[in-house]
Amino acid sequence: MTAPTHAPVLQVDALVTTFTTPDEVVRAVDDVSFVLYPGRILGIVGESGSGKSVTARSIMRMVHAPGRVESGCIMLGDRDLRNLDERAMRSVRGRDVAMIFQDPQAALNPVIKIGDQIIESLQIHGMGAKKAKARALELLSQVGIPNPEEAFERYQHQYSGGMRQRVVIAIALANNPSVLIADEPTTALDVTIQAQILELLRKLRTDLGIAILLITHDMGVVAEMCDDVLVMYKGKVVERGPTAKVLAAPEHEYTISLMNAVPRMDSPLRAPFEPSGPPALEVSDLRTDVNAGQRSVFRRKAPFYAVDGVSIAVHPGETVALVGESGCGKSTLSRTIVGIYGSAGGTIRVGGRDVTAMTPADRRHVTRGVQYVFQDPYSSLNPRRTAGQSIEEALRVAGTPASKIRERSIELMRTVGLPAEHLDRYPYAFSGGQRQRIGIARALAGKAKVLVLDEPVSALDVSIQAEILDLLMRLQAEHGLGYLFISHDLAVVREISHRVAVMYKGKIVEQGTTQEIFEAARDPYTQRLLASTPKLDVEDRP
Amino acid sequence: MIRYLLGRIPSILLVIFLASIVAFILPRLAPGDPAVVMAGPDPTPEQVEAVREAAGFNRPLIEQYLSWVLGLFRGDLGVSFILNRPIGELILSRVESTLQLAGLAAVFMILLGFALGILGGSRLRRGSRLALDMFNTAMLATPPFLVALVLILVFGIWLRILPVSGEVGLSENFGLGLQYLLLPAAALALTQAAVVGRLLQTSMLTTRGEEFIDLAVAKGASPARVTFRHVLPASLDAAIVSIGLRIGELLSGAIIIEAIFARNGLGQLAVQAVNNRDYFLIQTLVIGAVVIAVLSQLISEVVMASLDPRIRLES
Repeated sequence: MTAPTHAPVLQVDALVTTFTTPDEVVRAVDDVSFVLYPGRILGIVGESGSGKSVTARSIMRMVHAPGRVESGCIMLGDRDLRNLDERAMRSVRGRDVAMIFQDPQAALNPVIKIGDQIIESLQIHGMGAKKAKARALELLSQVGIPNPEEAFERYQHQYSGGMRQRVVIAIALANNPSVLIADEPTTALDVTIQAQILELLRKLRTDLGIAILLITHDMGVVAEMCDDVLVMYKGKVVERGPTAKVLAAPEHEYTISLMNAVPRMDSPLRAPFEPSGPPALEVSDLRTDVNAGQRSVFRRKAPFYAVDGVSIAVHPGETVALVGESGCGKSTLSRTIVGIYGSAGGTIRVGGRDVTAMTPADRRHVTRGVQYVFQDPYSSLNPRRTAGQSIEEALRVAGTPASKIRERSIELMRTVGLPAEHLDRYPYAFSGGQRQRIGIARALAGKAKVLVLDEPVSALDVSIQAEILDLLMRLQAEHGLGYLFISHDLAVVREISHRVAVMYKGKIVEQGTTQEIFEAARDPYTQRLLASTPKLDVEDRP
Repeated sequence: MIRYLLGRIPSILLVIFLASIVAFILPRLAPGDPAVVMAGPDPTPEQVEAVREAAGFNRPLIEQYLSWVLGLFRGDLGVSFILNRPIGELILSRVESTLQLAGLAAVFMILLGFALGILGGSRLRRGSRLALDMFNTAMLATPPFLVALVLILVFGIWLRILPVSGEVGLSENFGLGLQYLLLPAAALALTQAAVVGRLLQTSMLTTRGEEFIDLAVAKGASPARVTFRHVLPASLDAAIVSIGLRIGELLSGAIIIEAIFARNGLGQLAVQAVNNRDYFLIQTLVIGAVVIAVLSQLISEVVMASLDPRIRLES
């Protein structure tokens, strides 16, 4: 890492942004300062609510009400952006400072053609129509979109997530900005796509000498991308420095605990699992046609097997991870197991009983044996029911006698590490991690032997993620639970699984012990997934 | 698109068939006997019976229904008993008046609805927001006949600038016809416009929270550009559906408005037909209204699909 030789492009000094609520004034960004040099990538890391996105929006003067930049200065070259009038600020946005967003699907206008969205950012800053079109085509090929001419006329819903993010980047690059603010640019993408987008950003940095402010919660992304890093916690910068130093030898206690919570690709594996009996859940040659039942008057949709000949078994006390990227069929598989989708072939056995037909009696048997924990703890709890009501309902369904329900609810709350008083709270009063604990408590109500965990920690911050993983491992040891753990995050999978099955386009391409998969993967797709997962080691940078 | 429209044909035919049954049964379930009305003042039972025989009211219901429907297919709408004129001719003579009224009202509804919606869907100061909400709520809560009376009072009696009674066809004298049309059309449209405006406002405010609006701002777009190029086109769905549904509402509203402004339209014809138990006329008017409602809904779906590339009309 050579020392920067250029003058800084962006200097933020003592920035304070507040949100005024009826109860209090929250200092979302509290005395944040940093300097950004051309051709360098500065990372801002922190967990949700740390103020990293508000910092980015403050620079763009795009903080949503009731937020307000209170004090500090934001020097772009020799101009303080805080002193510009709105009109002058508009000419800075998109021309000098551009922004890319987390979710490209949400960030692109659904009803305007891709080409017109790029042209717009050029025309706003005064380029003529003909020149703008030529430049837009050039940008599309620069960000690696095949067939720019064709892409120009299409809409965002006709593209995959990775392609959409390339379009968002093309829009940001349109006017050759000197600063690019990337707010979680790869969080919504699959890991192999993430690797491609990060590669693209690195290339643009080198080729165009752009300064990038990269906001992320992912330490792996920081390790791969950033020259320097700021760690934010509750609105303040708690640590700063060159990436290698901050990641390898953090000084502030928050950074230390954060780094300890991050699942590492080199941490010790779980002890191998020896099955001591028949599997609690066994699926063989399962197929699911997701187009079944979608019939119209004239024709029937051609069958589409999202799950195509999958065999997998989960023993009591064992964690089997199912990894794969979005659309590979992993969620369809789990939903077929609990009977949300009908199967088109193969068998499902729960506790030795064949339940493939999913008769009402089969369903009762499945409900007793297998429970589901959802990814999003925010939407999987009914907002109008207290935690207690949600758990009590699950207990009643499981046939717990009325006299025992309260007692069992309290017991379940203790099991997942929540105080009994919290039974009377509504979901909004809980944090994400606490909600996921309630989701787990609900799943445990019926004494199920197998939990299907569908991305149970993906929506959580790393420190909370570590706590939930610990809880899951403890419950497994105490109750002999079998887990079918669905995830796209290989580092998490490596930490919790005994066995791993890799799914690609509806089929399991490779299955083995965690050690076999992570140390001697044979399938090229598995190898690609592993290579794409960001490592925490800065020296290992691609 | 063509395939989609072909795919909709069965359900449209079913709706019209069911509507024809309802239109046929409903007047016959209502108390009163058309034969009595037709037979003139103080008829003897024999006279009534003779009239009933002549009009075919003593034939089985199925037979009466079939002969009516077959007549419709042949273009023969039947004859009004009371007015003693072919129904086709009766409707044709009145249809221009009502179409002009409903057409101008639809234009008012769309223009005013969009104006209210775009204004309400923009960032406003607290005072302006309050004023707009009050106006909108007042419009929503005021029935068309009350709006009509207020308009008559203001424009016809105090200001004396617009005629409040009677009509002139647009085809005869466009300028004068328009003068006669303005107040009734406005009275008919205001309440509906408030509904359209409220829906558009809600979806625009929701759209403003979307990330692609942030991206537009981050591009450096001006507030006007953000509103008209990004927010509005992505917020039209609900408003267009409601416009499709409201067209039918305008037709039914025309009945009262025509009475207030003394216009000789289909609404007045319908009221007369019901009062006189003029079965064939009622049936035909009901079917006509259903067909118009179905068509306007279909058109709104096509418009929506052409504005929003995410909606592909597939069977």
